[in-house]
Amino acid sequence: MSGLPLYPIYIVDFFGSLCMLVLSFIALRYAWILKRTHTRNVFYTYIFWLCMTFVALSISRSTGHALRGLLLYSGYPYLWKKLAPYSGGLNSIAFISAAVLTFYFPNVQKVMEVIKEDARRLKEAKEELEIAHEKLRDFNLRLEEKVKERTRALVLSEQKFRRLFEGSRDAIFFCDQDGCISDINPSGMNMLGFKVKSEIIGLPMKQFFVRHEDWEIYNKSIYDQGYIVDFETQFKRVDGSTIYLIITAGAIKEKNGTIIGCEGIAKDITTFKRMTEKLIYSEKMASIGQLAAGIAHELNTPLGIILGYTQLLKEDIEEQELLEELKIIEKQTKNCKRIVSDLLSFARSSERRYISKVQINDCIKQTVTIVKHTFELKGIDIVLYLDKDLPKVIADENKFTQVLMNLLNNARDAIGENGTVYIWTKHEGETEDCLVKVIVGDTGEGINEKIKRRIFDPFFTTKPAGQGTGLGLSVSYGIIKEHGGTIDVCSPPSDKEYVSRGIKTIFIVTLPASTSEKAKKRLKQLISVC
Amino acid sequence: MKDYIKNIITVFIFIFLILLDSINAEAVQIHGPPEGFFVHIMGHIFFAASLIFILYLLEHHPQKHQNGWRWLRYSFWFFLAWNLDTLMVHIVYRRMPYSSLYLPLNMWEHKLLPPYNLEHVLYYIGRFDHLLCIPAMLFFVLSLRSFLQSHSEDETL
Repeated sequence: MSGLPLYPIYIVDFFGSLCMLVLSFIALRYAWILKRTHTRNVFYTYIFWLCMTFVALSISRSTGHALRGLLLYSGYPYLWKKLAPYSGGLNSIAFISAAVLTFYFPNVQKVMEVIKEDARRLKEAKEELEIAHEKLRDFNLRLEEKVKERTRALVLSEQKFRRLFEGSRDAIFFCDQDGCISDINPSGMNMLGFKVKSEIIGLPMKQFFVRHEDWEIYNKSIYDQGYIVDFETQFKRVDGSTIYLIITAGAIKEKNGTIIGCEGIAKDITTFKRMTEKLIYSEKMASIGQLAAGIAHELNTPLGIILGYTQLLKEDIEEQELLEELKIIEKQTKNCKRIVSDLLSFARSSERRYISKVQINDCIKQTVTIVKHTFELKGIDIVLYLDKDLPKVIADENKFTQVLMNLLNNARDAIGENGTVYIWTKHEGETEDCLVKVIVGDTGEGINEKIKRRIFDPFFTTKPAGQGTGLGLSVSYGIIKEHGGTIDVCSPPSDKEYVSRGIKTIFIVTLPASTSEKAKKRLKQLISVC
Repeated sequence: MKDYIKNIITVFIFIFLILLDSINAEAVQIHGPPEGFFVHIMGHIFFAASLIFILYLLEHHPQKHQNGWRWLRYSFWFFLAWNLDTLMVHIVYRRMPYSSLYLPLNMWEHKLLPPYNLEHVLYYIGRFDHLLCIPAMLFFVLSLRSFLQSHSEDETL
C-alpha cells in the first residue's frame, strides 16, 4: 500500500521525547541551584516552577510518544488506550500551569517590587530617622553643653552683680509699685542705720525723706520721666540723724510700659557736704579776717593818738569833773584797743609771737588750776583725761592758753550751774603725720544747727549785751589756724564715749605734733617771718 | 444590627428559597468527550498567549542582549513556534478523515494515505514538532547555565 510512512515521525518522537526528558531535568537542576542561591530572586523562582511544568510536559510527552510506541510495538494497544487520556490530561495541565505561571510572574514581580520599594523607603526612612536621631542626640548634647555654659555664665554674672550689689559703698535699692523698699544692699542699710535687712524691707521710701517736697519731686520725676539723675536730698536715719544723699534712680517697667517699681543708687555725700560747708566757712572767715585786720590796723593808730592825748590832757587838767570824763575816754579807748587787738589776733596780725615746743598737757593743767575755783563756785567739775604719751606741739603757749580759756569759759556759760566739763588729750597717727587733739566737752544744753553755723563768726554771740564781744571763738579760730591746726564743734557728738557721759557739745582742737612734717614746715615759715 | 450582616442573612434566605423550589439537582455538570480536546486546544492557546506576553516583556528587558537573556528569548520563540505547530496539527488531525491514515497493529506500517492536500502536508510536517521543542528546551538549558555562570543578581524582568 502506497502512502507516506509515519515511522520517521515515530522515531523523531521517541528520541525527541527522551531528549526532552533529559533536557528538562537538566534545566530543573540549574533552576533549583539558581533558586537556592538566589532565594529572594522572583525571576529564578518563576523559572524553577516553569521548569517543573516542563518536566511534567516532558513526562507527558514521553508517555505520549515513547510509551505509546513501546506499547503498540509490543502488542498492547489497549493499554495505551487507557494511558492516553492521562498523558493528554497531564499535557494540558502542564501547558495551563506554564501559562498561568507566566502570566502570574510579572504580577508577583510587581508586588515584590512594591514590597521592595516599600522596604527601600522604610530603610531610607529608618536611615533618615537614625540620622535625625543622631542629629537630635547631637543637638541635645550641644543643648546640654549650651545650657551648662549659659548657666555657668549666668552664675558668674549673678556672682558679679551680687558682689557689686553687696560690696558697693553706695546704697543700691529696689522699690516695688507702692514705693516700698523691696531690696537694699548692706551699704544702704548702714547708711540708713539698719542692722537687719528684714527691718527695712517693706518700709515706704517716702518716710526716709526729710523734706516731703523732695519725695514729691523724686516720685514725680520717676513716674513722669522714668528716671531721676543726681537728685540731692536729705534722708532721715533710723536714729533720727540726717544724711545728705545724691540719688540716681530709674523706673522698672513691664513690656507694656507699666511702672512696677524703681531701682536706684544713692551716694552718701554728708562728709563732702560738711567739708564743702567748712571750706566755704573757712573762706568766709579768711575774708572777714582780712577785712578785720585792715580795719584794726587803720583804727589802731588813731586810737593810740586819742589815748596818748587823753593821757596828756589828764596830766594838764586839774578840774575834777573834766578829769573824770577824761578817765572815761581813756577807759573806752583802751577797750577799743583791746577789741582791735583781738581783731588782729583773729586776723593773724603781725603781732610778736613766742614760738616753742609746748607740752599741751602742762598747758591744760595750768589753765585748769587758774579757772578751777571759779568753776567750783558754780558747781562745775572739770575732769581731765590726758594722754601720758602726748607729743609736744609747736605753738605760742600764751595764745594756746587763750584758746583754752575761751573754750572753758564758753563751756561754763553753756552749763550755767552744776555740770561737768571734760578735757581729753589724744594723739593720732605715726611720727611724721602725728596729730594732737584736745577735746573740750560740756554737759550744757548743746548748740542748735542755726547757731552752730555762725559760731566762729566775729562779733557773733548768744550772750546778753555787755557780757561778751563775740570775738572769743573767732579769735580762737584765728589762733588755731595760725598754728596750722583746726577747730571743730560737734553738737551733739555721735561718739558713744561722749554721749554716755551726757556731753552735749564738744570742741575739737587738732594741732600737728612737733614731730610731724607739717609742723616742721610751719616752724620754718614762722622763723622766717619772725 | 449592622447592614452587612442584614445583607448576608437576606442572601442566604434567598438561596434557601431557590433550593426549596428546585426540582432537579444541578450541582454536578457532566463533561462529554470533546471537552478534553477543547481544553487541550485552549491550553495551547493560553500557553501561546503567555509566551507572547513573556516575549513582549523580554524584548523590553534592559539586559536582553546578554547571553542568558538572549537564549531565553530564543527558547521562548521556539516554544511559541512549537506550540503553534502542535495546535495546528491537533486541528488538522481533527479535520482529516479517518481514512487518510493507515494504522495497522504493526506501527512500522503506519502510513498517511493519498490523495494529499495541504492539510495532509501540514499534518505530516507538523508532526515533526520535536524539531522545534528540543531547540527550545536546549536554549532554555543554555540560558539557565549562563545565568548560573554569570551569577547574575538581576531580579527584574
